[in-house]
This record gives sequence, structure tokens and C-alpha cells, in this order.
Amino acid sequence: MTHPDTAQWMAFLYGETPAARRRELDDHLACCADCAAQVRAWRGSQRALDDWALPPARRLRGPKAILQTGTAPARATAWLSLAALKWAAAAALALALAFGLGRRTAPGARDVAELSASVAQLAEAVQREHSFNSSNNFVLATTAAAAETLRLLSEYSTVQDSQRAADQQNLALALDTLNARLDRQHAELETVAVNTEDGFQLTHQNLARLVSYSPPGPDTIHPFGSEPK
Amino acid sequence: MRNLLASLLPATDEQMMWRVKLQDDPQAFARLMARWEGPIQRLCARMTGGLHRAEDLTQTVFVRLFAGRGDWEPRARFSTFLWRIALNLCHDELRKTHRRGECSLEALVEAGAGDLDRLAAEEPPPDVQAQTRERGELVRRALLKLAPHYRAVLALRHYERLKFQEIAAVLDIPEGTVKSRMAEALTQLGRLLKPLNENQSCNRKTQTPELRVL
Repeated sequence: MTHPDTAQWMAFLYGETPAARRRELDDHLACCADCAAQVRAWRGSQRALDDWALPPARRLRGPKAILQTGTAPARATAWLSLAALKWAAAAALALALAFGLGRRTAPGARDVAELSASVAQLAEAVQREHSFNSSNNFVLATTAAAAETLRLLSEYSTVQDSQRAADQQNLALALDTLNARLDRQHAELETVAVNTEDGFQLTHQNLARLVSYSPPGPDTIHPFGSEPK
Repeated sequence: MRNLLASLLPATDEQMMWRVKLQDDPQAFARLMARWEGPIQRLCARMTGGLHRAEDLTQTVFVRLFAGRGDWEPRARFSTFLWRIALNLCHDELRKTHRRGECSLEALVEAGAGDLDRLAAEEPPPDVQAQTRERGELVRRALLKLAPHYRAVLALRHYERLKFQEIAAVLDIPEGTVKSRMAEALTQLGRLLKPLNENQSCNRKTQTPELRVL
């Protein structure tokens, strides 16, 4: 007989098992003494846990006290910044769109059409929500706009993924070109270095010759003070 | 769009938190606190075993929530974020107690004992209630003897009724691990309470289930 594992029994004990599976497990318990004993023990612990009751939670100090501990002060005109947020979301979308279109050389017509349609929809929604007065509606609209922005951005990123492969190829090509140029420059530098080395040796020789030519003067100071005659 | 708007009514925790994050909206924060201070206080009480300590901790949890509002990602569930803050704080608290050399276990066990009076004071008890409270106290002490990560799973699944999957998200571990911890926690608890169960079973004339580790 195969026994259900611990994880399955935990799901079973806490009612997270689908009805059909639950029946199977019940059947197993009816005919397997080992599993039945184990489950009985766990149920005993569950009952014991229920014995530890807590009194109703006490209300805490007001949230104002906590807000004052924060770094930034709370702003009073909530709706103003909400409106700003909505436009910010729309602007972010427009920016992302412009960026995407600008960057991609050959955008899929379908994607662009879809994005434009979504923008139009968003604009319409924003327009419509202008007539709403209560700040709650503003919040909802804001969240909706934000959610829409997120969705569109994620769509955009998937489109962007396919573009990335092509970009990587281009990048590899560019890197190759760069490598070739670096190699050339390296060779040139080596030539320069050899030339410089030659020049340096020549100068060194000339200097040595100059030193050997200069005759000692009459008032040359001898290192030991007295010159042996 | 209309459907989306409709589905967002009434304001969810996530929307509230969004407002707190972007505007420090005091009303939204107050509503979040009103919704969550109870569950968080209970979790802290289960984790540390003391009601007074739980109240202080809960206050700190909300301070941290507000301080960390910038870290909240709108895609994450608010509750997951909050449970995580609370659990981290409880673990810190337990470590601190341990480091202060208060002999973590006994100190915790004794520290919460006074709370029993508070429980008693709120509901003048007949004898049956007194007996239940006594059993509750034994369970509290037994729970405090478990490792904190077992206690966390017990508190979240058994008392706060989170699904195993949600607990896995809070603790950032696989669901299977949560379930095996739960099983181990129940097994250990059963072992710790065995004398109690045996007494009860003598009184009730029922069979005591034998415990064994899988």
C-alpha cells in the first residue's frame, strides 16, 4: 500500500484538499492503522492549539503618532497629487512608447496599432474620469491607469525581447570591428615603440661620445683632494 | 476599463498601501492599521508568548511599515509584506531576549504568565473556563519551547488561517517545506503535551493516540 506523504496529510488536515482527493484520503485512513494513528495524533495537537485563546486585541496608539515618526511629512491636498500621478502614469506610458518606437527600426505594425489603441483608450478613460468628483474615484482611476501602464509596459518588454536578439547580433559585429581596429592600433604602437627604442639608443651613444670628448680642466677637483703627480 | 474599475471596489489593502507609499496618506494608513493591528498583534503574541510584548511589537511593526513604504512593490500582496515585517521583528525580539541572557525560554514563559490575569480579568470565569485557561497556558508554554520557525508556521496556518501557499510566499520557502515544518511542529507539540493529553484521556476514558515521527 502506498501511503500519502506528510504534505498531503497537512493539506488534508487544514482543508486544502479537493473533495475527490479528500474522499480517497478518508478511505485510506479507514484501512491503514499507521496513517490513522498519525493523523489522530496531529488532530490532537490541533485541538490543543485551539485551547490557547487570546483576548481581543487592544487598539494601539493612533496612526498619527506613527506617521510623525516617518521622514516625509504627510501632504494635505491628496487629490492634487493623485491627479498628478494619473498624468504621470500617462506620461510614463507615452515616454515608453516613444522610446520603443524611436529605438526600433522596424516596429511590428500590429504591436504599434495595439499600443496606440491602448493609449487612446487610456486617454479616453482619463478624460471621462475628469468628471468624477469624489477623491475615491480619483484613486480608482489612478490605480487603473497605473495597472494599464504596467500591462502595456510588460507587453512592450516582450516585444522588446524579440528585438534584443537582433540587437545582440549587431553588437557582436560592432565588437568584431572594434577588435580589428584595436589590433591594428596595437601593431602601430609596437612600430612606434621600436622606433623610439632605436632613437633612444642613438642618443645614448651620442651622449657617451660627448662625455669622452670633454677634456679635464685645470681646476678640476679631484675626489681625494690631492692629485698624485 | 469599466470592469477593471468595478473590480477595484472597495479599496483593497494594496490600493491603500499605494496611497501611503505615494502620498503618505494618513487616512489610508489609519485604515490599514485598523484592518491589520488585530492579526499582527495576535501573531506577535503567538510568537513571543506575551500580550504586552505583542502590543509593543505591533506598534513597531507599523512604524516599520511606514518607514519601509518605499520598499513596497505594488505587485506584491500587502499582507505578505506586512506578515514578513512582523515575523522579522518577532525573530529579532526573540534573539534580543536570548542575547540579553534572560535565558530565552524560561524568561518568555514566565513573562507571559502575568497575562493570564488579564485574560481572567476580562471575563470572570466559572470553573470550566478556568480549566480551559489552564490548558491554554500549558499550550502557550509548550509552543514557546518549539523553535521559532515552527511556531511561525503554526501561528500563520492554524491561528491566522493563511493557506500553505501564502505562508510559503511570506517565508519565501517552498510550499512543501512549509507543510513539513507544520507536520514537525504538530508532532513536537504533541510530544510536549503528551502528559496533558494522557491526563485528559484518563478523565475522558478515551484512547490516547500514540505519537510517532514520520
